[in-house]
Amino acid sequence: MFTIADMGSKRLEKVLIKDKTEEPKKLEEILKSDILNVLQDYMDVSNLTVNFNVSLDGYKLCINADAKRVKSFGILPR
Amino acid sequence: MARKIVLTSGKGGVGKTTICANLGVRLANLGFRVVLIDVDIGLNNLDVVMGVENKVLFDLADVIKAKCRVKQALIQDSRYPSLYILPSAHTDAGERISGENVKNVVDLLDSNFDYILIDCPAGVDAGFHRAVFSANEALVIVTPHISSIRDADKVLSILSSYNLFSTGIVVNRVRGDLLLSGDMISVEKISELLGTSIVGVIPEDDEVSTLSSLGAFSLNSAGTRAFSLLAENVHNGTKKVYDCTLKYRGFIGTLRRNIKKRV
Repeated sequence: MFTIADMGSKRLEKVLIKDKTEEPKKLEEILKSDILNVLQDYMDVSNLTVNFNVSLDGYKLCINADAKRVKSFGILPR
Repeated sequence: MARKIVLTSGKGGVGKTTICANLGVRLANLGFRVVLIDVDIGLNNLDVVMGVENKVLFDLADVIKAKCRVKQALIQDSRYPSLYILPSAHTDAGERISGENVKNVVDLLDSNFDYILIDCPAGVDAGFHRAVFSANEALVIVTPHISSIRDADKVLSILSSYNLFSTGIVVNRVRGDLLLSGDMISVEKISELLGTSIVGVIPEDDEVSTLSSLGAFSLNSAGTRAFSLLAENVHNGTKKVYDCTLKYRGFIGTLRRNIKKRV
């Protein structure tokens, strides 16, 4: 049987997750451009997606990058 | 070097000032030199809770505006000689006072005290940042109510931007009878939801609120035992939590709980 405390906790969990979901939208954009800058030093990135999964434990960051080729190192003359 | 602890909450009316005053009293009772700074400019109440409202000559704003020296603004508590209060301005001088101004005052007091407790205003606007700026530790005061926990979560996320040495939660106004009947969110659940450890649990205690109206403190009630544990945890880093349900366990406890429910 659910007590009032259990119901309150469940409701609170939902509220806290909703609050947290609203936060990362701007952060996603900023992170995306920073990550893209780093990745482009190493590979030709054609597509990049950055997603935040929010749970009560915190944030899980999922980065998906497609690249056509990896850049070669050490072949350009100094 | 003093430990600088800000007591904050986000939501108003959760007992920041009362906890600040009582924690200060317990730490002073343990023999530490403590100063309580009221940074709630315009809505100051620490002087009233401490019972020193008639002794205020200068306040934080006067120190910042160089109208007096910091030692002239400090009020020594007559009951606990190692406890001092730096009251806040009655008028709304908040806009002209920055976090750096408050930090300069805190730095002046640093070498003379073991603990500097900063009473933060409610909300997360300029007043909040003004108070947190000079602290290196934070205690987030929360009551077992959804609105308070939600605001505390927001405050904790803002506090993570500051490089604080430690952050802990104090759960105030916990009712043991409601915890046992499952009508109140448990302290453990609050800690789990907020992802932060509990530093203290303060029961709902009539004596604490009655005495705070008189500017007095008791050293014997349930609330004061909980405040003593809080002071011990703050000082030693222990995690001894006051059991608010103890009073409502056993035959007499159940009887007490049932009578309270009916009343």
